[in-house]
Amino acid sequence: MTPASLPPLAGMVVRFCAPPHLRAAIEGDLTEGYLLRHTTHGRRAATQWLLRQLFTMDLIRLRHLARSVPHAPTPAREAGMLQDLRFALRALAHRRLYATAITATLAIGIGANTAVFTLVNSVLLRPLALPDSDRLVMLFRTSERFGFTRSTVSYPDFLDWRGAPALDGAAAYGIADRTVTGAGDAERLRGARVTAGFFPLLRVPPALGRPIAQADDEPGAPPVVVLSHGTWSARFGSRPDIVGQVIRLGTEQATVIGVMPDGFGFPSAETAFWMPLRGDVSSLERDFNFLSVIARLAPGQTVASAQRTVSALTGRIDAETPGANESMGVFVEPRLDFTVRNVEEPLLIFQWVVLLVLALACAGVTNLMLGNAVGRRREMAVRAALGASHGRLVRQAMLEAMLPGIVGGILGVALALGLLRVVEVLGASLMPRLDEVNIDWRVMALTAVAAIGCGILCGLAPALHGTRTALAEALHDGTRSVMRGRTARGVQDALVVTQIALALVLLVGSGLLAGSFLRLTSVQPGFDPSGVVAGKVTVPRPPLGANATEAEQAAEAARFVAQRNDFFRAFSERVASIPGVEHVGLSWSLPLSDFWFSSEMVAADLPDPGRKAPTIHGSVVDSAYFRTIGLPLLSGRTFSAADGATSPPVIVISRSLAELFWPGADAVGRRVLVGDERDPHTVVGVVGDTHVRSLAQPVAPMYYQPLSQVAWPAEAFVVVRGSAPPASLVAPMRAALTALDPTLPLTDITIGDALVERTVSAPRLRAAVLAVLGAFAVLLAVVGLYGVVALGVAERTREIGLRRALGARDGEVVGLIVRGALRLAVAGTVIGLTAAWMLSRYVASLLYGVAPTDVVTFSLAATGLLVVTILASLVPARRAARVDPIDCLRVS
Amino acid sequence: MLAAVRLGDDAYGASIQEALERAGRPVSIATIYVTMERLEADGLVRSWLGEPSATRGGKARRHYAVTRAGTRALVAVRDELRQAWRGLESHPAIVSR
Repeated sequence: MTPASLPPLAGMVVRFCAPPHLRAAIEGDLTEGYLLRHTTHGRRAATQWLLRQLFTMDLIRLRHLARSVPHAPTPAREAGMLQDLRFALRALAHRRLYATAITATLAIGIGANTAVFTLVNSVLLRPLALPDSDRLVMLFRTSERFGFTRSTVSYPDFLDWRGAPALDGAAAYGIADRTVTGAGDAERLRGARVTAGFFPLLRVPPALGRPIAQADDEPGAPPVVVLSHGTWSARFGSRPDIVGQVIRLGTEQATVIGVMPDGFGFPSAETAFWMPLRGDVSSLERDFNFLSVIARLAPGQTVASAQRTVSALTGRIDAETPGANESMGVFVEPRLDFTVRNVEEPLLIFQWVVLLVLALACAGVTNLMLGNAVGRRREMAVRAALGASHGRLVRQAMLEAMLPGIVGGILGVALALGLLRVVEVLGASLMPRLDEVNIDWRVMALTAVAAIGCGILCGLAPALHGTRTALAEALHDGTRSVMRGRTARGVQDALVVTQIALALVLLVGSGLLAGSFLRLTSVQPGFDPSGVVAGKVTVPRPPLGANATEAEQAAEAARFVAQRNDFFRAFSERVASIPGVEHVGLSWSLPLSDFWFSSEMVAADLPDPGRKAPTIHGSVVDSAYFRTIGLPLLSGRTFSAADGATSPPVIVISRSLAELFWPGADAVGRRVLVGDERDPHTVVGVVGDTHVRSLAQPVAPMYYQPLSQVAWPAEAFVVVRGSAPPASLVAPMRAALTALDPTLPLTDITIGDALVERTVSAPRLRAAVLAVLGAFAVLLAVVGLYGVVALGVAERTREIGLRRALGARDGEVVGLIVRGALRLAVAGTVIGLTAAWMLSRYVASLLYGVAPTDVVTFSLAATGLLVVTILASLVPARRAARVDPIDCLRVS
Repeated sequence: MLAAVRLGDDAYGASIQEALERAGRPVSIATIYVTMERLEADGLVRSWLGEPSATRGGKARRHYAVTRAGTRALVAVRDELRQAWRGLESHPAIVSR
């Protein structure tokens, strides 16, 4: 800076702020003052002085603007906007605690909404990552009688449906896991058997090679396979010459004909390969339901019209083939709905819950802002006196309200990103399409609207109230006392009541979920999961020659059963010799897992032909399984070595099954018919009940057949109970298997406790999330009530002083204040209880063992909230009791 | 206003500010101009532009002088204060201050 001139910036500030007739004089004064201080106090002091002068220069502008309104030209108005922004920032910076509180509250409210809406948007709303996926539907068989809505279908059904005019093509697929050997360790891979139209239907061509053609899908066609991108890169090192190579899949040699592009995974992301179905004779039975069917709606068709045509078609077919699929219907469901069917309701419930939280946050922030506006009425009055118009003050106040909203929105997005990471970790097994979850423009737009909307919503009432002041009154009010006026007090009371009501709704909700989670964890699974580990082994079944006679097939099957039984016996012995292993059992399925089958069953000796046969869950096990998994034998015996393939068929049933058929009587020695088998099975033992799929579902009747007598299972879980930690037994089990047959992998490793854990993890996550939100809600409500009560005490200082001067005791003063707070708390509680009572039925589907209107939960939540609110009001009440009457009389 | 009376012909923004600062009441240039504008609008002071000077970067001074009405107002305020203070100078509360 040359000594005799101002820095250009200072000149700009002066030109911006001062009217033309003052500019030269002010610039001159600043120069003179600056030089004077430069010589007497040094450059630093002079610069500081200059900055102080410049920072207050807007006073002149305000004065000038106040005189030039109401018709200020547009540029001045824009400039005023910038100035208002500066004011707002300065006002917030002066009240750091206040600014932090409202910004953080809004950030939590907006962040929770952004996170949940991101999930809703990515999982429920966005179309699947397949071309024109909104036209893809699933076709199911339904059965009222067996109580299911989504059954797989038979190959003949698929062939009939494929030609339905409402559909523009259909494809069927089934699960086909195979062990891949050669080129590395043996590995069990998830695969799919698909019909020829599968890839064209999904409109995804292979990245390499060709899709499965009609010729590949004929019975007896040479085996071919299409690999997923993941399998191609992980297992075959992305070899460009993979197409045409022959790989070993189970017992077959299949030629690789194609590789799918990266990111394609259907029916699931884990699908590693696709083979043609090659529908053979056995798959032609109409009641052999083993296929899932996906179809594309023809142009102009809707889900409803497809439902009508396919139902009509199926009705005609079922009438022609009586007995095959009695009383079964058809269900057409959009593929997206099918994919998200388990998470749609919880996600939508949580969307509503976080909206409640946001409403609560807004009520809390509005309340804080109202309190703040009351405290600043004198400031506003002074500014109005200096010439600021009412509109200008409102705009200023609105800016102050919107800034925390916008900052809260930005922080909220950051918070949402963190929350989504947590969901990715905790919800990996609970939520479909998690890999597709991201924050897109739709989420950003909604977050922006929420942030700005919250700012406006929260700021409007305080801005209007805080600026609409009786000038004279506010200016002449020389005391420190604050008076809100009737409207503001009413609004604040209403807000606190709303906060308490909303907090109670959330508290009841989280109480119900926590209660059901506790009930769920106290449910006895029926077996002893601790100390148990299991792994699955699949014995390869040799392929049948296409032209094998029935006798040859039977001989082949018998050979396989003998070989399988030998293998499992040998493997069990090896595992039993591992140090720390106490029991080894075999089972086709594990309790509390998704693997089970079911058959119709009737008691052979009950003269009851008219009764419908119930469908019973079944499994195939060996005799040691019951002791290993900890299922108690209640009467009779388990299987023995005498129950071989040629001896009379035997069966073990669960207690509830015994009660179902022979209530009060001994079931041992009775006989049952399973499915359409002609030979009855003799019940040799009764064991305890287990939960079949989930702890939340009631125990179901079960039956167990001996592995030695059932030909079809090729795979079984080897279940181990030991004194050693379960996880430490996996490596020796693998070693034992490799020593027996190096081509077989040990798959589906399951720790017993994880079976229980799997069924309680979703309820626990839901209860935990709601508990956190509930705690946040209570905190907001308590802070809100505290603020209002404290303000009330401040307003009534004089009255309280008078009362004390007239002899009121501490207890009476405290009672006066607490009674006022209690009135708000009771009003909020009554409204909250009513709302919770009306809303709780919407969470009924998430509850277990607790009624949606559980009286205990409702009363606990209400009492808890009341106690906390009373405690919150006690603090200002005690302060009121300490008011010195002399002091407050002197003040006024 | 009193500073302007004291400074006489030499009353302008920077000099008034310096006078007030010496009297222990530092105010910003902006405050002075805002006040002077209002006083001028009320007819209590008048102002005129002086000659530009090099020590001010070539900018002119805006001189202020108290008008007759201004002088009357000052005197009225002084008399009112005196009236209000009459008899209080020896009041125990004031003396024991």
